[in-house]
Amino acid sequence: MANQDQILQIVGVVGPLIINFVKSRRAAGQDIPAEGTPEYAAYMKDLDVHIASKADVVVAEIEDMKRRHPAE
Amino acid sequence: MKRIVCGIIAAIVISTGCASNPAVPKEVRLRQDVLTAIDALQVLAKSVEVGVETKPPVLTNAQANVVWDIEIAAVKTLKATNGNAWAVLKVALEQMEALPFAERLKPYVGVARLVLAALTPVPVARVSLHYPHMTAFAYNAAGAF
Repeated sequence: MANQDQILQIVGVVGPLIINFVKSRRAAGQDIPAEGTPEYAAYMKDLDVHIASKADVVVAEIEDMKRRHPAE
Repeated sequence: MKRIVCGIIAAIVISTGCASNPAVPKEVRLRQDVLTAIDALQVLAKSVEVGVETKPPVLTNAQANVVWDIEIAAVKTLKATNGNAWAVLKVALEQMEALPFAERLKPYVGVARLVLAALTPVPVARVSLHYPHMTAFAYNAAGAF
């Protein structure tokens, strides 16, 4: 078993790394509004609209491909 | 013992931190995954068309149409459910891999498989696979065929 000193040593080395890591991960999502705010609701709505239109565009593109290359 | 403790701490950090950015809410991440899966299917569809138009063609029109039908169904499912992109994409790729001409589809499905790996719900596997990079990679790879 590791003694108390060893555990403290490990925590001392790994602790700052974890804090930096979490900070950097949080910074990566700063453009997303805070949950529960009206901005967040609008952001989610935009995202859903974007997904729906993207899906429609892709389906239309594939339908076009099918028209250009009809199965014999 | 030190190594074991460090290993456990590292595994926890990687699986919790890298996989799920705490700043990105889960419902946002799920939608980002849906967009990535749609991107992957779009790339696959276009690369299949290239395969049809190549001289000599890699796929016949009839074969390509079968693949496109699977893709249309998958994209519609993604749009309708807004849910588990990984599962929808996985089912679509498995359907393609079960086709009698699956061998010819291998390069195209291979690229989409990489995107699927990026969307996996297994946290550690997502570590180095960030969506935009994967999508860009898929586009580049599709262009190379």
